[in-house]
Amino acid sequence: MTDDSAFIRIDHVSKDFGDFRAVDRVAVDIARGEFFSLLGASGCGKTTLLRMLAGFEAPSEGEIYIDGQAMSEVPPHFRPTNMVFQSYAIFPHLDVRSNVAYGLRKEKLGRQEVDQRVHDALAMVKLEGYENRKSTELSGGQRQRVALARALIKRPKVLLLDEPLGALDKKLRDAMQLELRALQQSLGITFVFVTHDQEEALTMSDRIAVMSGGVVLQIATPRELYERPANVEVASFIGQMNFFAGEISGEEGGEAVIEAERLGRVKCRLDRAVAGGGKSIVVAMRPEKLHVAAEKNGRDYALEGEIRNAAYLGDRSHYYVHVPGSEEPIAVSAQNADNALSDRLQSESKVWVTWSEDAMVVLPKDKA
Amino acid sequence: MSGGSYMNKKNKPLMVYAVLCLAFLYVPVMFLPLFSFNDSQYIAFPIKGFTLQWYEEMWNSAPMHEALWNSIKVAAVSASLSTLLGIFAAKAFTRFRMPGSKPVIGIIMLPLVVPEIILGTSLLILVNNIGLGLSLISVTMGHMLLSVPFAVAVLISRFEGFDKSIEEASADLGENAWGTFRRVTLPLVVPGVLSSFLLCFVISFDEFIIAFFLAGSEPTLPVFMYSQMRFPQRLPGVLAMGAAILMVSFIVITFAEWVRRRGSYGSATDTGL
Repeated sequence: MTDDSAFIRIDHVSKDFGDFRAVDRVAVDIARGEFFSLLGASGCGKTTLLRMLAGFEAPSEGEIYIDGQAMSEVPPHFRPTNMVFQSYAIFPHLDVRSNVAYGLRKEKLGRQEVDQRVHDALAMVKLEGYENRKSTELSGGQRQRVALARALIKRPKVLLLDEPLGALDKKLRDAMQLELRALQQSLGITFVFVTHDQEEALTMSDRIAVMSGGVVLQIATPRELYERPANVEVASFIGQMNFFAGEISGEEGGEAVIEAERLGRVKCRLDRAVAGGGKSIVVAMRPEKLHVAAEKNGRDYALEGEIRNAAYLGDRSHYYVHVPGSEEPIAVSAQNADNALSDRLQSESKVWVTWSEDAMVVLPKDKA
Repeated sequence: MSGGSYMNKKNKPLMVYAVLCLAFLYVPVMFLPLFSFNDSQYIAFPIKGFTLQWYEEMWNSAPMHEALWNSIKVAAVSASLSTLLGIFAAKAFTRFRMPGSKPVIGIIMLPLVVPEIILGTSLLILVNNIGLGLSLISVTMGHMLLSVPFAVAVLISRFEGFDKSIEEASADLGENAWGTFRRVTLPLVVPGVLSSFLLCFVISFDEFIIAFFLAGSEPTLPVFMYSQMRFPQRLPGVLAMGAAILMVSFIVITFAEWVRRRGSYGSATDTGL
């Protein structure tokens, strides 16, 4: 038994393919029973990292420990991990029962016990009675469930999932997200989940590692990641974000005074002013933390502008507000709860954009 | 215009063209069975009458049986070995990152474009110089040279046809390399293996030039048939044999194609990526 908070320890792991460094000195500890996501655009190294956990790729540097055991000498078929592949990798020549029971051969069980285990695994993924279906007769969602049952029947310590929901349509994907999460919590198995879909990662994960160019940019809970991104790259990858370049000009009563373009002079609590050394920073604000109104209201800050573009999305609307002296619009998102208000806020209407102090996040200016 | 899209519209000139092409391809072949039932020693019109005499003659000809048996032995052995080599090569080319694999494939495919007369001559020189001599073993090796490219081509397309992660899934579920090969790879490539074997068999079975150069005193069937051409009275018997072989080849190739198609699990396996 090892420290539960480092059930999986990825210890400064790198992977080179020829001259290309796919994964660059990644260090992550994943806790026992955690739903951990690797999030990033394609080519960021998340799948390579997952494949190193499964044993399909060997790290060029570093070591992976699972439950205290170093993995570099352990081939895939001896690892306490099982994987749900992006393509599902269902064995096309076998029926559902043989697919699900595939991994049980080495356990030398009686036929009855195999049948029982297959039945239980299929019940877990809500595919009871599908034992005799041919794998070629399954829909995408069903194939995904068979792949899941096939991996879970091995009772792995760690389940690895490589974008398992990517090929499903949106409704099914939303349902599967909740189902997977519920399954993970009831089984208590550690899930490592690879996705490029930030919404998916936010919905399901206990913690998320955001990757880009083979490097981990930030590891945090979904809320932290969204509300307190560590840098501009994370902030722009997760959700939508308005950025305002600025400078810290001084300090006043425990707060940093910032001169930012378009915003003017704003004050922000120092603990959020993460600028290291340099005075140049970026102020970031989520569109939904900004408000549009016909009048200046009681919030901390207000700017007068003009709506140049309005996009109606049903439940909410996006407004792009231009403030004098800048061509770059400020994106504001508002719920369409008040019909009268959303009717009034059309293109070319003069509005006030208002926000409170805690809507602002101060980020270090990127080296680029 | 009622019903049918542009593509489904009947096109008479095209039909005529298609029929002519098919006739051009198959009418000459039809002469063989036609004259094999003709009640005359002379291969000429008009047709005299129906007879099974030539089939009877074929049935009773011991040298012909011997030649047939030689051909079957050579074809079976060369097709088996070619297919085995093809499996290894296809697995290597499709599953491992190898430097220079493209040129190597090119070299394997080379016998496809080298004229057989050249291959035959060089093989003749080779087997005589290394002391192997003229025998069915030499013919078998020559035929392997011809059929390995076909085996590799058929099997590479089969190996490429299935997702590599299927083999990874097997490893992930606890099977070692051999278990994965036996339980996943082999069942999935069996249709390719069968069609490769049958194709190689047919290539060897009807090959003439290399067999003619290397067979020595044990002729294969094509060589034997050619030698019978000198004796007009034996020609109809050869025609009967030819017609029989045509029929068998037709059945074998149809079967091979059927196996190949049935074996591909359709596009269902490829969705989702």
